[in-house]
Amino acid sequence: MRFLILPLLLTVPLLAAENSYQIVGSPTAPITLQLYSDFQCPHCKVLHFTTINSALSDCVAKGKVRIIYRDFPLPQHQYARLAARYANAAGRIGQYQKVCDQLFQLQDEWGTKGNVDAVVSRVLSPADMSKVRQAVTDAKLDQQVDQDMALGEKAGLTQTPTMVLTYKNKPYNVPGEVSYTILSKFIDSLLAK
Amino acid sequence: MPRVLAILARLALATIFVVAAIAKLRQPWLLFAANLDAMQILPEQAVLFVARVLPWTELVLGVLLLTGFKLRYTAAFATALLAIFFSVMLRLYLRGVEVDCGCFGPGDPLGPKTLVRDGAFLVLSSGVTFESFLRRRR
Repeated sequence: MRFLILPLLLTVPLLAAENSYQIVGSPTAPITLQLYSDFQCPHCKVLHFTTINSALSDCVAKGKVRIIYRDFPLPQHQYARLAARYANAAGRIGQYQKVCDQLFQLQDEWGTKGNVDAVVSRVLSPADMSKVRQAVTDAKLDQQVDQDMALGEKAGLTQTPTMVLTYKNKPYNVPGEVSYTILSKFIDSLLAK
Repeated sequence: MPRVLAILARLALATIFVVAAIAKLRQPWLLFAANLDAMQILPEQAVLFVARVLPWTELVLGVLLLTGFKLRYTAAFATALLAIFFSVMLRLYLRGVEVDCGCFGPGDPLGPKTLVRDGAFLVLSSGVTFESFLRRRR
């Protein structure tokens, strides 16, 4: 029995602390892909709109993979943490993906001016924006970002973006802007094991 | 170069190649392919080919260097390979691309330390090559 419980206990801290809006895909998917990104990082933007979009419509839709979005704002990016707070605040009202897309899309604009609020307000209704503005002041959002960062550091992250694929409790770090063709081959090779 | 020093340099170079090969072969080859792909210097088919072939090439090269068989050729090939690695790393670093070097498996980010290390390997390999050609002339 303890042989069954031990792997479960080991998995809990690895996957802990995520909110439901950060997870996309079937809970029974054999592979978990934790995506650590920084909203101000240009490579994260490319990965978000190319590889991750393809993954969502292919391997996530087919139930092979579930994605957990995690924040890893780098210290050199002045507004990355603020952007992460807005995205997570939007997540609380079911608008996480919409705000993530907007933040990555207009990264150059708010990345220089710091006008995250104005950029987010363009994609949400006034009512939703008001809820986000209320939620964004919640200190728990910062704690959540800190938790994601602690998990990333524990996983040995050295850069963003990094995808941590976990299969049968074994993690594989895939850093950088990797194409979906290579990623999907890797996913299929893991599943064939 | 004294004979003992030449042998030590050759053995050190051989060890570097064997260790780098084993580190790559211990991980799934597609993980190394992902590393190479993130560098964005090769088309996908070439990435897959290099990821398959490079670790074994390094292993064979390491063993040949260890035995000293056809040393002039193996040392020259090792130097050429290290020169390619170094120039790729330098180019990526100057372009500001943040990638994992992948030289000794995962978790080896490209930075000044990696460049100094790979540069030192290139100097060592050039020394072994030069010495092997010089010895042949004598």
